[in-house]
Amino acid sequence: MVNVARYFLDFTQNESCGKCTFCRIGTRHLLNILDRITKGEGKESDLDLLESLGRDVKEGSLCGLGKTAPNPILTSLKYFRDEYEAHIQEKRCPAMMCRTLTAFYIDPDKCARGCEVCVGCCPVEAIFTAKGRKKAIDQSLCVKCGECLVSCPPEYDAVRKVSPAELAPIVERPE
Amino acid sequence: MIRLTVDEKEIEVEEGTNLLQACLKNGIYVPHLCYLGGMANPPASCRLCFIEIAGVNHPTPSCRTAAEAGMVVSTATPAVRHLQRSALQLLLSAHRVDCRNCPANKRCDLQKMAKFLGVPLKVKHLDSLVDEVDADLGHPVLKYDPGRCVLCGKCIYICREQQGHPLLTFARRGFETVIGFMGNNDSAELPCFDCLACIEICPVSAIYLKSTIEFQSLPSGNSDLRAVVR
Repeated sequence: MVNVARYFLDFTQNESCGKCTFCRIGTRHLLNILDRITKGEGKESDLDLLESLGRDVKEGSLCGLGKTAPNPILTSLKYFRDEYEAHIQEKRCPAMMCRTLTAFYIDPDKCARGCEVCVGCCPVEAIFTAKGRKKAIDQSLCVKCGECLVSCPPEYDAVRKVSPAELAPIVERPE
Repeated sequence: MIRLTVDEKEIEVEEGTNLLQACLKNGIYVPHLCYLGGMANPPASCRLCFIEIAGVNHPTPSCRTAAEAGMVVSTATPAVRHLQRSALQLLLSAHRVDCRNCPANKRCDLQKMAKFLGVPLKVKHLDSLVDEVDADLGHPVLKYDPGRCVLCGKCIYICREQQGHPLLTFARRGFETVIGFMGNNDSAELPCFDCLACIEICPVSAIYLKSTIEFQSLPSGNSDLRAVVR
């Protein structure tokens, strides 16, 4: 839901005509704060700031765009505050939407050995063969596109998506 | 003439006066940036001149509200001050605070309002959004600093008033808005050299004179105009 709020604010901030102070500058600040939160750089004080700045933009803006742009933030803070707190305190995205806070890894118990489907679909060649001919993801190269998750045959279902990113085990690439 | 009450003081104003004018004419200061006396249609874009009218449950911009007989107005309620401080802090977060090196130092509207509202010039809880790009107006005499500009629009308004049609305009959109010059290629024809009203009206010296060194690098055809400006 944090990502949803950020998505809508990105749109409305871009649409701002720039005439009035609150919408022109206020929504830019709100977007910057949300960006930081989705990248795992959120601070404890951010939630209160989002709330008070959002209310001020809503009340002080000249037109309907400014008056409604903070709504996704204010309502998602009201009903999904725990998601925001998880992003800030645990660097975890409960919805697993924020790329910086999620990671993919291959479960060696489920990997089929010799299947090669995920290796072929990876756009950045981040998947390599590790011990026991099982596949593993090189976290330093992974761009978290999710292609491997989708392409792994359902009978194996070996790719896992986790948040926070630290939960994904680091597998050493053989020399 | 109509009578109304502002901050528990009874005042009398001509019909058709807006509330901001009514307050200022009667010695009651209401922070404002984009309003100039005599404006037929104030832009109401600065969002600083809020006041509260009894019977209306939210602050209202005073520049766009006509005074009515019997109105009861308060200029310093907590809700009004909160919005004004918030608006000023937003403006300051997008303004390069460098008073010592600024031509507007000691006569700047931002300094005046910050002092009045009790807001420090450096805003701690907001990141700085100052645009460090120097936007070239493409004007022979005027220079523009977007890092100081608060987009009040008074330069555009005064240019239109003085010249009949404005030579300055808002350019681009949204957060990227800047002031632009609708230039005349033949700079000798420009009325600016005799006018410079925009420089005088700018509350933050965002629009200012090029230094004589820069001016001297112009093509020699302008030699007589150089003397006028210097």
